[in-house]
Amino acid sequence: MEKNELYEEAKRLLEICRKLGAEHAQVMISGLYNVGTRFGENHITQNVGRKRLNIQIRTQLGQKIGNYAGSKLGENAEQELQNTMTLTKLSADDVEFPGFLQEQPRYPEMTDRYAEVEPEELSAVIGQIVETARGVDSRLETVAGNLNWMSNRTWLLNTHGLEAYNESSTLSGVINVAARENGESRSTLNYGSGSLATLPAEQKAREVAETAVRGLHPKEIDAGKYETILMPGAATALMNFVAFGSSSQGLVNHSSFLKDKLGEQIMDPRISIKDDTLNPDHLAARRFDSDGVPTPEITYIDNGVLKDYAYNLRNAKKLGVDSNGRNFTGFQGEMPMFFSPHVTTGSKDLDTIISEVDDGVVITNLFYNNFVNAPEGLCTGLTRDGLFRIEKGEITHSLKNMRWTDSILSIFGSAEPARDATQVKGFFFGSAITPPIRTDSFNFSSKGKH
Amino acid sequence: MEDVANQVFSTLGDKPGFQLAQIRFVAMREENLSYRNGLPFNCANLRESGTGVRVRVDNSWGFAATDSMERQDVIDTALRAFKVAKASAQVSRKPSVELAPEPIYKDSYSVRIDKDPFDIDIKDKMELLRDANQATRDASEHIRMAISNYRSRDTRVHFFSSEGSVIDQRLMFTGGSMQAVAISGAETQTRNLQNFKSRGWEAWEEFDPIATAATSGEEATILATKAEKCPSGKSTFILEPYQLGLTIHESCGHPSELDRVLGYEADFAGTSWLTPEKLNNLQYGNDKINITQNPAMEDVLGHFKYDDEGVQARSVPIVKNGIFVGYQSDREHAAMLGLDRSSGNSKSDGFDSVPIIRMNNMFLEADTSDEGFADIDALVEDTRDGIYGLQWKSHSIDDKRLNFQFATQIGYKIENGEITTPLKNVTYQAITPEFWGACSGLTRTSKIYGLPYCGKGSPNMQIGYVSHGGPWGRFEDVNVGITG
Repeated sequence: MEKNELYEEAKRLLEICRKLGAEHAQVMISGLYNVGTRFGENHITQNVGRKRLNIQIRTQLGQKIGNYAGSKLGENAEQELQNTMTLTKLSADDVEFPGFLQEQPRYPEMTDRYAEVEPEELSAVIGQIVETARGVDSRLETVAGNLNWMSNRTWLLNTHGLEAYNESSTLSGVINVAARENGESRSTLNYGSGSLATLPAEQKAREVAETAVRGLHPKEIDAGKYETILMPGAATALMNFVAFGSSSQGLVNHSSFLKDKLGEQIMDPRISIKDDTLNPDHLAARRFDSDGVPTPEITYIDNGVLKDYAYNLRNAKKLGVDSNGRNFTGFQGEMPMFFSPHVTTGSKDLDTIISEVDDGVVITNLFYNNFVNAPEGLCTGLTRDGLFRIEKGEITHSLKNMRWTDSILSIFGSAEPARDATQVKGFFFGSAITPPIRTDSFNFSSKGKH
Repeated sequence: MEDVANQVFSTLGDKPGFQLAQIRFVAMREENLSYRNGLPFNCANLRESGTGVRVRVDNSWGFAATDSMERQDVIDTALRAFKVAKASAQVSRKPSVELAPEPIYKDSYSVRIDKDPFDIDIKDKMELLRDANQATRDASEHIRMAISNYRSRDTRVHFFSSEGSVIDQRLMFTGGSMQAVAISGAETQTRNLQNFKSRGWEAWEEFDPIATAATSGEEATILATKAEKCPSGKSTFILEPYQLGLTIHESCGHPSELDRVLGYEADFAGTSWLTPEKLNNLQYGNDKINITQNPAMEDVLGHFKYDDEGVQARSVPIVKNGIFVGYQSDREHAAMLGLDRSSGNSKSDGFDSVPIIRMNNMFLEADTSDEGFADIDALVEDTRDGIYGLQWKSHSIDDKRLNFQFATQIGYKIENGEITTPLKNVTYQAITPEFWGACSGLTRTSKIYGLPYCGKGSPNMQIGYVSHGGPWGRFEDVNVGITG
């Protein structure tokens, strides 16, 4: 659907809510265009083209609230929204509901971009990736990955007159390469971009292929604490935990390891993180959140000091503060979070940082990371696709994977970012821009088997 | 719908390279109701309907979806799927592979629904949730957060294949969760009890929400006020069916998915240590271990009669007497390995998701021999010292599914054959075949739980609905109490 068609549909749905008896209502409608291509063993295995609407409607009657989520409503809209109004009427008062925004905010400037690509264009890029990666070394046997184009046009309207519009197109992907010589070594690289033209596909393919070759013939190390360099993929994985910890949801649910730490020095003074929401290269770039609140850039870790949590209107009301526009709403509920972290770079380049490590490791990626106990920030996971030993300032050989179990605040308690940052597609949030980060101590709790 | 499907098949049938088309018309509705700390919270209706068309052209797949079931939209979407398949063929598999054969079916099926949850007055549902939420909060003054949730999903799928299958299925699940957060001093602890079944309202009644909610509050209070820290070291370790199911899910379920095994999940979920040469040759566990996947089992979450390729669900052994004997597959991956038939594990999570290999219902068989213990009491009585762990708190496993580390919500010491002190933050870590090789006892009784959250697939992750469980199981020399 075009921008004006989406707008008219949102207006129609608001009018139906009013007609059905809602005092107020809010509609968020997104038109999605998606081409997602997946490849493995050097060929395309899945290829998906989707066009659909995503609609979220909230109806209000006093302090009673009902929600609708789903696909195109069409001629059934009145009947479906009648069910939502029934749910609204029969609900008890939700005294924590903050209401909808009653004034039109002034949204920050951001470059809009919307485009649609054809599946053949993504397939051609994948062909280049496979060919480039395999061409790096004769031991590179198989290439896997995916490439995903997502374009969205989104309107948020409410019956108080709020109107907000955002459009975006993003490209993100993964390349996984396997090298084999008396065993297998894989390497994985996640990346994102705003367009096909700026996608550094061949450069990334070469980079990941070279890492896979370097990973051949791994040796073992013992469990224990190691001085560690977290490459951008690994650092981003740990930023997920910081994102969860700094969500006000964790304050309300008593699950955050950053609860009651506002204003405290929680990380090394060399670490600063901002939520770079307005950078259109970020996969979650936006100028307003799902409450319609503007999303300014926020530095939430400033020289290691916790400066802010991510709020939505509901949690902000409950906690007695103003929302800073970080809400994300899905069918299962709301989750305010800093979705676009950008870690400030340091003064030294990566080679210099490596040269200063006498005995340590380099972690390319971390895998299946999870809280062991969220309120204390104790986490676990594994290295994946590229663990290397540093001896006397040089990377000497690859290592078998290790399980890590450590406290996030301990890892970043004495840590130094390198100079050059890379954008990495995230998992639970959009994407992160982060340099490699050296930490004095990273705890490996047991050995892996490969 | 059949008329539209036939028009699609005739439209595509004359195009060069066309081999197969599968159309799914999907209409889904869901109700998700919650109370949080005495207030209704995120009560929502979900409605999704649309059409997904999967086309095989020149031995490559294309999939396209639209949130419409109108004739012209479906035909346009099918032509889009054809174009996408042609694009896939630009980087195609060499040599190509045929699909494993499957009979043609014309059938209509519904899961058992004694009481349709969508016919129950929403007022009654909300009152029950409110009372359950209060039961959690009444457990003690330490309860700081109580969340009570009810969900039911009703999905109607009409499947048409250009090979001739016409299948109409009504799938449903119902259940909920009761969560309590208790705080005492600096100690914050959570207890979350949940279950889901492929049934109607009666599954929610069986869940007994008020009693379950009260238990979650009572046990969260015990965790925050009385539980001791889990000791570190090697221990005999007993798991109840829920957490045993989670262990099966991660260490047997995912590594036996044939797409992972053959390298097609390498970009996201990883690969597998259960490589093809190990089929029928690997000692996965000791001879007590029999693991079966069976989505045809009625009532359990994830149950269906036909998968999203029109393959009939059936029981397939994965581990038999400790030997690894089977994979979960779809038609293409089964053919790649030379298997004569798909195991029927091809599923998608909605009209606009492409079918992928998913586990659905996988469980450890109870020990019905004379060696089997009558129940958990008999198993504990036979255990001199150890730890008993219950329900999932945290999970992590490597990309080949060998090194796992899980945490349970609550645990208990076992001393001289009796359950004694409650334990908090219980963790256990093991290597998959070593863990299953160290099983020293199973009960004859068993239970299966439903879990509506399993993420797989890329670049757009899909959510699967799975069931797992089995007997209570005892394992020797397990690493417990892992710390940072």
